Amino acid sequence: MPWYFYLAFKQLFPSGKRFSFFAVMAIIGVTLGVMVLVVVTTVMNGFAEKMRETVHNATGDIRITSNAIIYNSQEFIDKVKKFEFVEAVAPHALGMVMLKNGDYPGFPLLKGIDFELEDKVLPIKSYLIAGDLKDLDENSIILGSGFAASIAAKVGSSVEVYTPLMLEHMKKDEVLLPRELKVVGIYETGWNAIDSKSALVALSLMQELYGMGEGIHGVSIKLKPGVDIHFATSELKKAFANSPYIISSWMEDKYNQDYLFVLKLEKTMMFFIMIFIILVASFSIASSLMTSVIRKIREIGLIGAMGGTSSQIAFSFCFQGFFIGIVGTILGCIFGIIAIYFRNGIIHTILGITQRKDVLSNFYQFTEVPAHFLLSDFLIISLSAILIATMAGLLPAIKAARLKPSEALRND
Amino acid sequence: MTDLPLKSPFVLEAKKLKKSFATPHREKIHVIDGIDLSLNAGESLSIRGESGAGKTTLLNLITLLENPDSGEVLWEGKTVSKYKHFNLAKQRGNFFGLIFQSHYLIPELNALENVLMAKRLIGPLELEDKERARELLNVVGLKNRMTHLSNQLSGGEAQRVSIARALMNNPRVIVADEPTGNLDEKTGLGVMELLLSLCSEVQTSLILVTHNPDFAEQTQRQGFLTFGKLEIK
Repeated sequence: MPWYFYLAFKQLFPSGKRFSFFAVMAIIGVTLGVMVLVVVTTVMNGFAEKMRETVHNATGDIRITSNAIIYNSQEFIDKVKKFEFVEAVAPHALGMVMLKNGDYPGFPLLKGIDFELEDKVLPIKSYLIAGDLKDLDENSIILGSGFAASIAAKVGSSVEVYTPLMLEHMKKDEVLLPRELKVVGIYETGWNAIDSKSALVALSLMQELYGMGEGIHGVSIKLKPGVDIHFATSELKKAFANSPYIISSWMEDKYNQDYLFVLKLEKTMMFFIMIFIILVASFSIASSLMTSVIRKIREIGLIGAMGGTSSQIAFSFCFQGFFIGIVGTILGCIFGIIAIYFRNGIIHTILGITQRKDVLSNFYQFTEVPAHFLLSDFLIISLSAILIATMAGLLPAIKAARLKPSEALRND
Repeated sequence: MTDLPLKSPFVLEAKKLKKSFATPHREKIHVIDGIDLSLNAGESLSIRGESGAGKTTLLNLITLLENPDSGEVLWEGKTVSKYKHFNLAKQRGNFFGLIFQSHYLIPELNALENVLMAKRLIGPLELEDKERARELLNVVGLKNRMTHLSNQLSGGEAQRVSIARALMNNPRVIVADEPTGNLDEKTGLGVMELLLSLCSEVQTSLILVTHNPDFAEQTQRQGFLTFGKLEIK
């Protein structure tokens, strides 16, 4: 083994001792940093994955919408169905309404759907947390959980619906009375943006409330399994190139896009916050190595005098930082994976101690902490940790390399 | 046909060495002022002089730890001042055994590993190197202290380890800069006797810088450095 490796190892693991205090502390610092980064990014990935799944399920694969009413709806639906990659198509009509439950008003986005068709595109039944879909008819409504809470409505409540069509009638000195609907269900997608601001009614009721006749505002499409969503979107865009329709996959939807971007941004922010733990550890490595260089200035001088070159001396110190980085990263990854493996036990123990067992399911709609391992994250974390630890060894290494043996040996 | 250059009969030679330093007031102090020095194989030379006379500087110039302002240093007849840094460091480690006032043992290594370090610095360890290091430690009376760290050794013992380390590479010249300076009289005497006897035994040349006239008397030639000039008896 070349002497500079040998000396580096000996400084980390001196003869007569198993390891040096400095080495242990430095390795623990890097280990903790890497472990926290692994846990945080993996859990953030898990949350993001869950949220993506939630958003995807609530949106469908592809949506075709129009700012104007599509009157020839059946013809339009049949045209979409002809694409071989399309498995199911569900029409919808959308519009803002005012909804009152006693003294509590709210302004949800009312979505008129054909429940049988919608069920083939979105997992709507699985969202129902109260009531029954069978009870839904032209005089009833299903509310998003957040919205129902905001107007204090529950299954069995009667709500009044005011639509923009009433304003049109008022212009003609006619009075259109609000429509009274019975709440027959509450749904929860897990996506707050939908649950707190929307309600579902039968498509025919929505068409009546908005005076749309047989018209619709768009369709949601479910693709056949294995079909590339980008390919399907681009094919549809090509087919409807000269039409006023807006075609977007669930990922291209402006709101979804922003939401997914925020999720990604959150993860990036967490990474940068957590990497400070490794940076702090790197400062301890740098200061310990620098102290070592200053304390051993004459020994370093002697090594230089006896045959060691400046670059070899520098390498010996830099290698110590690198080695600490490698060992700390490996241990950090192992402990991180162990922590992830036992995450639910850990979280439930903490929640049990704090008497807040229901908070996870109430707030996040998850009973277990999601986690999703990504190799790219592990690589980024490992490379960052090793690089930072090596850089920490660089400054002391430069200091050591710059020492002239004759001057170092005279040092008092 | 050309004549081959004659090989220098000296193991170490310095010709017209000059070295000066600038004071903070930009005055030049000629610490070494045209010194000529030669040393035969196995010969011992002591250098005395007042503190600040330039004894350590002279040793640094001879070992090329510092470059002279002018003059030439020859190791076994070869001009070494033009060696590249990497080569020079290796050559120095091979050619010289260095002993200083303090032992400068690496604290993380035990006595045996410190001795072996001298060999590691100039090349890979051979199988017999460990045996030689043990033998040297045995010779300097540290048979039972081989696995001891420097902080577990007395000052005299640590200096003995540094003597063993200096001898590890079979150097042509041992350069000892006040090797007993940090030791009490009795221990210092023991270390000096050991050093002189070992150098004579293995036929290694010795340059000894000392303040002690008794120690200086024990070398074959004695030099006195004053005002940048070396007077050798």
